[in-house]
Amino acid sequence: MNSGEKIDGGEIWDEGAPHGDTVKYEIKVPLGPVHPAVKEPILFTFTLKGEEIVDVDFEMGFIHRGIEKLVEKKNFVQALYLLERICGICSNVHPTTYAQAVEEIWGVKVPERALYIRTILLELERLQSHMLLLGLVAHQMGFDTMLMYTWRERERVMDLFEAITGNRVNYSLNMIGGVRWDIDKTTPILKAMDDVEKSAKYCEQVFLGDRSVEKRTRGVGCISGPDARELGVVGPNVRGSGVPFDVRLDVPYAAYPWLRDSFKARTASGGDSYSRTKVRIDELYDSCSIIRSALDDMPKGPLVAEPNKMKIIRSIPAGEAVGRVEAPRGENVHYVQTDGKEFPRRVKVRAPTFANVYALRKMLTGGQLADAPVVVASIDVCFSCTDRVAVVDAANPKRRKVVSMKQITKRRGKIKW
Amino acid sequence: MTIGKENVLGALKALEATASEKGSMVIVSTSSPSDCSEILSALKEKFGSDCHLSSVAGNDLGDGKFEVNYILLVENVSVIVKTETANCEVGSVTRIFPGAILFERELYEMFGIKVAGHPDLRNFFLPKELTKSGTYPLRKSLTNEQVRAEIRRVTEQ
Repeated sequence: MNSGEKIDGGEIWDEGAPHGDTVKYEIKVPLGPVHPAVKEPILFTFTLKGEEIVDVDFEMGFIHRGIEKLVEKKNFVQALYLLERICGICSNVHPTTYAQAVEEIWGVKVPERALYIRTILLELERLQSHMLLLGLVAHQMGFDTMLMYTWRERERVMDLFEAITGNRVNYSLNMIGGVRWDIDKTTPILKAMDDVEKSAKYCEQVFLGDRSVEKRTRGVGCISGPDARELGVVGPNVRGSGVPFDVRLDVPYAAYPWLRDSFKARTASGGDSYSRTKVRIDELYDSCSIIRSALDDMPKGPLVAEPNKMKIIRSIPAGEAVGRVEAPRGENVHYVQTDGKEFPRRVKVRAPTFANVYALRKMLTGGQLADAPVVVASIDVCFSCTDRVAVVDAANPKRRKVVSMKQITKRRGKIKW
Repeated sequence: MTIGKENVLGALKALEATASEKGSMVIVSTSSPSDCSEILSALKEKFGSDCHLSSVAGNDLGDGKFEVNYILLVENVSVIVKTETANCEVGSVTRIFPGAILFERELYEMFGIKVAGHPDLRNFFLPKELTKSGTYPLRKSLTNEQVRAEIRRVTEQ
């Protein structure tokens, strides 16, 4: 390409590079922020040298709704329903975490039956979230049959939610000091668990035994155990690097202290996308066995410690507490501070993805751009497709121009990396 | 349930920190941000990878005073290390916990607390313009309506 040539009125960005020479430019490719297949918008900016990723930067907040600010204007019970709306996929996790923190400040003893019901719903949620993710990982690899299969099986779990609470998402299950819905019929749940386990076995065969899946995921997006721990990675992602960090076992909450025998911290040693997927499939079996033992052991009794909601709101003293729950994506933390009034003084929400997302920098750097969607999906956040390209002159980073798709198509075949 | 509690309390006693038990948690209050970083790095040194930073929660105490809570999980025990700042500045803990890099960016944009020694202090969630105009949404002096109006103003520009 001749120096000074104009393309569509834009300036030439690879001026002076003769034919056949490698163009020494780093290209920034933004991925995001919106993609129809994924629920969480995030903008990745990849810095590329050829196909290799040199650096990654993220920007979030496209759906920042100011919930932490708004919750200071809601009373303790209203806050439950507001916090439930933080996430659509793990919508039971946030109110449970918040309720645990407020219960600790209040010093109330939650009825055992309520704790068991919380546990069952949390595990059902883990089942549906893991299945959804397995489908998404498969989808990123172009393995759409698997997407259809896992999402169909996921519907079984969603039907259970509807049967128990009346809703497929946002179940409004929790109340401070208990739960609002009872589980009266156990047979449909047990039957569904058999089916889910059967499909998990099939998933394992198809997913982990398939050669092309293995080639796309093994050795891709690696992070070592010590690195992951250092960066504060949580959930199946850190367990996929061989670190047995699981809040359910380390800081047992709800009914997990009594159910320790029905599961263990599932780990895999690879630290790659394959290991993370394997951990999630293994956890499907664990969730089924936890639900079975919980249904067996569930005692009879009341559902809430205090039925009068006004009394609950007025009896929370001044104090502070931390709630911790192992969400499908990892450790979810709420820090609640109260001052004896009817409203929380401060609620800090640290969702698991916020802790995980920074590790992507480590996982993606040095890898190929084509692997990025699989890696990003494998840690359970969203990704987006390339919608526009910004070019940075490596020698002069301040010079930055946006190139349209039309210009890129024109240039195709002219540039050698 | 909390086997490591004696360990943690013992370690904090050796550091001459003012620690108090509250339910299943251990709350450590420190007098200054530098004191706080010292305690955090001592805890990290003693417990190694068993010392996990879960979150950093800021809080507006009014009168220009801010509180920063470092929420840790040390050997199965929830530990909150608290510090107060009057001049809107705390030291970065990213050298001790590299994972804190995003937590501190959030702290900066939400409260306007400057994090000294942070490698990359930029906005993460909020638009740049909002921070440029000095709007820190989680400060108690700002109402929801004011924040909303400010966002509308900067995005329409």
